Amino acid sequence: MDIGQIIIYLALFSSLYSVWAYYSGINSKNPKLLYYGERAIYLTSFLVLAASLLLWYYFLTDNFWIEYVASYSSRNLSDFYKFTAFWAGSDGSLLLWTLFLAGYMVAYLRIEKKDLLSAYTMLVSMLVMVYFLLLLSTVSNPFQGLGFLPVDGIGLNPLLQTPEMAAHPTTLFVGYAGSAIVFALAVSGVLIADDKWVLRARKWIVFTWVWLTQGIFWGAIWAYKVLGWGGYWGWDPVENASLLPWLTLSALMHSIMIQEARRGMKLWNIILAFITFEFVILGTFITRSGVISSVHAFGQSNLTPPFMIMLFLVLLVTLWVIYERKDYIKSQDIVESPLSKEATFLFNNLILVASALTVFWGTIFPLISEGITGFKVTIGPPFYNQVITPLAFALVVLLGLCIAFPWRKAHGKELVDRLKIPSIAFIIGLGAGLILQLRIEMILATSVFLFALTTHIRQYIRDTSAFKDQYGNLSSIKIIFRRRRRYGGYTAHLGLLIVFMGVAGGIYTQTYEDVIMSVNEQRVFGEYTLIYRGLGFKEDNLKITWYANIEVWKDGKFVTVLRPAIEKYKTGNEEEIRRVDLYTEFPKDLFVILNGAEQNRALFEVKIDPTVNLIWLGSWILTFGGVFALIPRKFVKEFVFKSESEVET
Amino acid sequence: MKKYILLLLFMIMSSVNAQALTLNDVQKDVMCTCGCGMVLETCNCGTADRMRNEIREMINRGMTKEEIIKELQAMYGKEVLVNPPKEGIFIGLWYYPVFAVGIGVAVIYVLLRRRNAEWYADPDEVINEEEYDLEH
Repeated sequence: MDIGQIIIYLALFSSLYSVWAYYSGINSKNPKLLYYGERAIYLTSFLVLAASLLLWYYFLTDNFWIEYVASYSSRNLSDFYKFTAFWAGSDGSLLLWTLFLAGYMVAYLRIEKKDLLSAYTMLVSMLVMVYFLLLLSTVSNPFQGLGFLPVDGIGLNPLLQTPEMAAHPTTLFVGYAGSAIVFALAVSGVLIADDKWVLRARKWIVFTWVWLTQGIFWGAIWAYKVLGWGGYWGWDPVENASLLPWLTLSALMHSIMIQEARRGMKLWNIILAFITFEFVILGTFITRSGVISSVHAFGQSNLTPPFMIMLFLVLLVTLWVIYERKDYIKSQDIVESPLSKEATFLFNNLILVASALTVFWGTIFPLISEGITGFKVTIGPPFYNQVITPLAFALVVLLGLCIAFPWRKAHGKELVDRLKIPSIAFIIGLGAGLILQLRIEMILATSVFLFALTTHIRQYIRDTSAFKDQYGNLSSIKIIFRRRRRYGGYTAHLGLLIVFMGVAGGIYTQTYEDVIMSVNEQRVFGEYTLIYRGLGFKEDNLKITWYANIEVWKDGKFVTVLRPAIEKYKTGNEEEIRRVDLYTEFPKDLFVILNGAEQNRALFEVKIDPTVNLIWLGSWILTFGGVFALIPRKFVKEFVFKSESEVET
Repeated sequence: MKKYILLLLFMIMSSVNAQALTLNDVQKDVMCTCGCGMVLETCNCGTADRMRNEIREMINRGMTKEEIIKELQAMYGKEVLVNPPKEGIFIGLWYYPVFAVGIGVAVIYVLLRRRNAEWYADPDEVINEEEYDLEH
């Protein structure tokens, strides 16, 4: 038995002990047992870290005795990709998931108060940890020996040999693991019938959301630059699986504010935390089970029964907690007026959750159709585009409205005043679109974008000025830091609006052409002239590369040379992939794929996406907004609160 | 160099068709049948290349999009369609979102009619109070 496997077993025993210690400590109100439970969390986390470091060591030293290493690495792989091969397969990625969960638990113990809520939260989180360690000890053991030493490993899938794939799974798994803490906090908070959980969960929700955002962003970049079809989102089941928890967590991020302000939405909030965690388990499962065909899936596996059990157990626990605390979570009024921020949050929740349920429905529908009709129907992008587009437009309008509406109650005149400029911006958008003869969808997208954008800008200025009076002429920057949650939210909204425009521009104004070009032939695409200068070739110990040399000219001036390529890998199944090349002139991309070549001719796919870089920019702004809202008070208190004794007391 | 170029015969080099119906018009509504789960438009595997050639041939024969999709369905089965038709059991797929939103709107309508909520705290400020509490 490999030492790594022994470490995983030890971690499992340690986690089981921690669960027992927390459970007994809570029941007997014995702080000593809770202390032991906490120590066991540290020990478990240390062991999971040790197992992870060992697996990395095996990859970096080409230890092909280990089946997982032999399956995803090879001698000619660079050290960087040997490092990232850790999460190239199902077993390693589950270990990574577990490592991040351990990190969260250690962070929680270091940051949060040690009270009953924390004890329950650690107990529930540790149960999730036990589940993953059980998987790693049995059906998903990354330290399984091969029984013989092969000359070389199979190698890493060429599509995974990109920097983006170093970032995508890691960021997504940090988000996935965070959802376990959010779920644990929600269940624990309801169990002890204390609204404090929403205050404590807020930072964990935002932190998790930030990483899910990054995970989706890197996945989209990877699809765009590596998969070689010129798109960033194909509504693939695995892509959907990453979007689902993001949507429900976004809804939760808003609805917990209503619980903070009104002590309502208790049932809804625990349901959202539950659905988010279930979506995360489902996403982890879909990627590994092969139950739904996907370009991103690891392939078939025997993980279906354990994941089904986990999904069922999480449901059971949630239902039990809701039943046990039905008096605490009983329905309460949450608005004073339908013209209020609270009301807009309800609609925002409706759109986000309806979008999530729709995407979920489309993702699992192939299984339903197989069960009923006997054949597995495919649900492709046209379905999602048709049903999600109206919801996306509605969400953007709501982004504008929820900013314009104040908490509690809006007065008619005040509201008209707040929406005057945005409405004018909307009309300008319509007029400009008509003059420019854009597609009707693009005209509407631009108009609602301008409406929401101006609402934000206006409110940003107005709020800062209003708070200035409230805080006795505090400088604008101090106000922004004091109200960092609000301004972080505004910034995240701004990012989302920019992403929306990037996506809309791509869908409604992208140009695309398949073209055969002879050597030295010129072709015009939009404002660019492309000249094909022939094929190049290079070979190293990993792959053979054919690349086309394409000169790009604009306005009679040479701009750059693009080298889209086809790579044939020497390891594994000798896979062949397209490496796209692109020229960026913000916000647009000229995107070229080499699809085949002969002696004197080559087949290219050329695309011009006029707004794609807005998506990347918007994603960073979205992330920044979340990070800004997360800035701890202690980092800014010297700067912001020093002169405000009333807050310190 | 030459031998590698000769090795590189992935694609059939047919001339770009100037007819109104293009390959892209068809391949965005058809799945690749290799089992990858991707729309033909986005897949670059050998099966996808073969299917594209079949579609190109059909376009060259003057077939309409509907005729081509019907032909592909006869060749590969219903699985080749990117989306199921809006009929039979599949109606549930298409109208589910409307149903979900409808229920949500009804719930919100009920919630908005109950207006005796109490105000406890400004969520913007709670962040500072909670963190102040944590610091001490």
